Amino acid sequence: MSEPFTPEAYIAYVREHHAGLRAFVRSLGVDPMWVDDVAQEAFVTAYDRLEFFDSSRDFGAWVRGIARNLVINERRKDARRKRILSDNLTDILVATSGETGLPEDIETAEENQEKLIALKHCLQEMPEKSREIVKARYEQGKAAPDIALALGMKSDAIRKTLERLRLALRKCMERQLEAHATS
Amino acid sequence: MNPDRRFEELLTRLIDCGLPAAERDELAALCEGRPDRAAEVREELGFAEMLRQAIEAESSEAAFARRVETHLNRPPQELAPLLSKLLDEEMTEPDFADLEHLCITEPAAAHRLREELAWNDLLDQAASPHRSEEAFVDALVTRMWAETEEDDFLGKLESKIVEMHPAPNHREQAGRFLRWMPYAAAAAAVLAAAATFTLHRGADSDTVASLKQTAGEVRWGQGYAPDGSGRLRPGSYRLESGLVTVRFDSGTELALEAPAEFDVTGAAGANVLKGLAVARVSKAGEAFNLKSRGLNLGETGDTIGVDAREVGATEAVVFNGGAELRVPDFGTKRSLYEFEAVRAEQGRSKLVDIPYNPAPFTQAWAMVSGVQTKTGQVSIEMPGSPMKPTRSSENGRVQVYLENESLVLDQPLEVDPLEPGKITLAQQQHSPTLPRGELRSYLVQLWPQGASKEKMEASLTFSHEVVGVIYSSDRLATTDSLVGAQTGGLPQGGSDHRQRGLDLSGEAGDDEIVLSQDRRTVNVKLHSGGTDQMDQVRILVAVK
Repeated sequence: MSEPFTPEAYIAYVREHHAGLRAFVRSLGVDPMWVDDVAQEAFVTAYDRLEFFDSSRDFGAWVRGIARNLVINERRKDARRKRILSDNLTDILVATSGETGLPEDIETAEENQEKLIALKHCLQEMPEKSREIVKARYEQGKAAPDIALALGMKSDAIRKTLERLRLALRKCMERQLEAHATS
Repeated sequence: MNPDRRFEELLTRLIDCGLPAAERDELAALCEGRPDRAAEVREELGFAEMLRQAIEAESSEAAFARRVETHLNRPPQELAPLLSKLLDEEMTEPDFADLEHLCITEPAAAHRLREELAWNDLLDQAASPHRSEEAFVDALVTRMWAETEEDDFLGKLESKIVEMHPAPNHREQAGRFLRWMPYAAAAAAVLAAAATFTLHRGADSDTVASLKQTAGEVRWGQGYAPDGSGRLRPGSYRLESGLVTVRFDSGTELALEAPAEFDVTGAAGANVLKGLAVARVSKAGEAFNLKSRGLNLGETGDTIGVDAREVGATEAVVFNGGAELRVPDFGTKRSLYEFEAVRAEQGRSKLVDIPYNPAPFTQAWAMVSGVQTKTGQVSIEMPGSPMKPTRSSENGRVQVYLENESLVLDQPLEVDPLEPGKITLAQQQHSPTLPRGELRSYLVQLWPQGASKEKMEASLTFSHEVVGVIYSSDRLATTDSLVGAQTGGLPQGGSDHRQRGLDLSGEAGDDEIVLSQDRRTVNVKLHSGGTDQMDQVRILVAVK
């Protein structure tokens, strides 16, 4: 990335890195409701500090570092304003996520985009009933008891089903990625 | 009381429990000219702060020790069930403690937890349209628009997004809106005639609202349109293209921008199911009940915007006054005030604060701004916009600001001379005085950025009668605070304020202002430009 950031380039970088950044923010124990908020704040902060960005470095790693600092700062806020689930849990997750916010297991932006595409494909392929449960949980943000009530099932059964569906989706995604890599 | 004793008493209370403002002032007065007392206050405050830090550190260390002890005594836990609970958002405090314990004692558990959380977020992004890439970038642009001064950057950003995302396109629609203006004016006249006809033949007792104004190429869904006379019964409506303003019999006006779907629930109620809407609620009539999907905007007062374009989420913005929001399914309540905005997501109880961004409502707002028709290059500025010059790329247009929706004069107000049907000259000496009453105030402005000079003509027809205008620079300045004008962007100091008004000497190249015989239309010819020079006219219309 030797060229300086133009507005168009900045959009392109936001588009390229948003999926991975949001996943990274969530991995630090940020409340799911606030994940996008923190990620956006990181992009806004990054934009404000573009003059300090070394364009020979990886943009994704740099923005993750900013996001990591934002999450650390959440610890200092009063309880009502915190965007993390638990102070102690976030302490542990931040401490084990590496100094630069780039642990060894962080995928490249491209890998995250591929995962996202594969997941969307897997969701399309799911049986209708299963998709309905996943949509209720993720798209509508319903809790297991509410989904159970709507579908006439027991809460525990919904929890088990969600666990099973997540596993199935993960396996499907990995199959897709494997097939893509070998094709 | 003895001043020394009073000083000691106030100081003790300051350290122990704080002082109200009046007593803080008293303490400051007692320290004036007494450096010994000031030093004592400094010393006591310093000591109190040290004490607070020491106590906090001790309690924090004790809490940490208790936590470690708890962890060490805790029976071993399994990660999988805790992980499921976390992903399903069903964690309790003890569950968090168990998870922390597991992550401390087994580093692999922390690694797996981070991995699972990250993967789960990708799944959420894949499954939820409201977390799509477009939604994220759109929200980011909104935020940057609100949090930075980089208007030019964001303008370009928006253009780019529009190029990549050809669905509802504000800029293109703005262009289309202007191109359709002459047709819109004709359509408005037809509708007005239709409404008059309806009144003469007696309003249909089933109908509760009528079309007041349209813009653009208005097309309704088959079976979801108002009747031929422009009246609406309670029921469902689908606006496939264009913009309309629906006036309810209770007096409230609702502007909708296509594609939109809405239910008319009565003479004082509507439910916006899809699209963009701005409601201007009549204060005189019955309270209006506005809903949008799962969000109840209460019996709102004043002006409120609803953005229900995105599947599964509604955003509400208050432009004027306030609203009491409720999510009935969850019992959530929230008061929303001027220039505040929230987002409600379907199936979620929380109303999330978002930055105030009026930009998407530009066209709908223009429909309820009280400017019925406009010719020439005219833009109706959004509420809360400060007076500022147009950007270089947008020079060549006249800006109209609605400064005050309801200006109540509690004493007579002197305005500048303006006789209907005549060109106004500066020599006219008689300045009329407006009696007490309720007015609405607009500011019309030509203020190009940069040193280039500009000449513009514009014609504005208002929904209410024009009762007074102010075009002299001094009078503009003295009435700014009365109308609550957003003058933050005006040049400060110097002689700039004296150059705000019109130059009406009647010579070629001067400004010109004419009011129509029916007092509804104001035509202006403005010549402005040069560094920090602007032309401004304040127009006052009678609301009642």
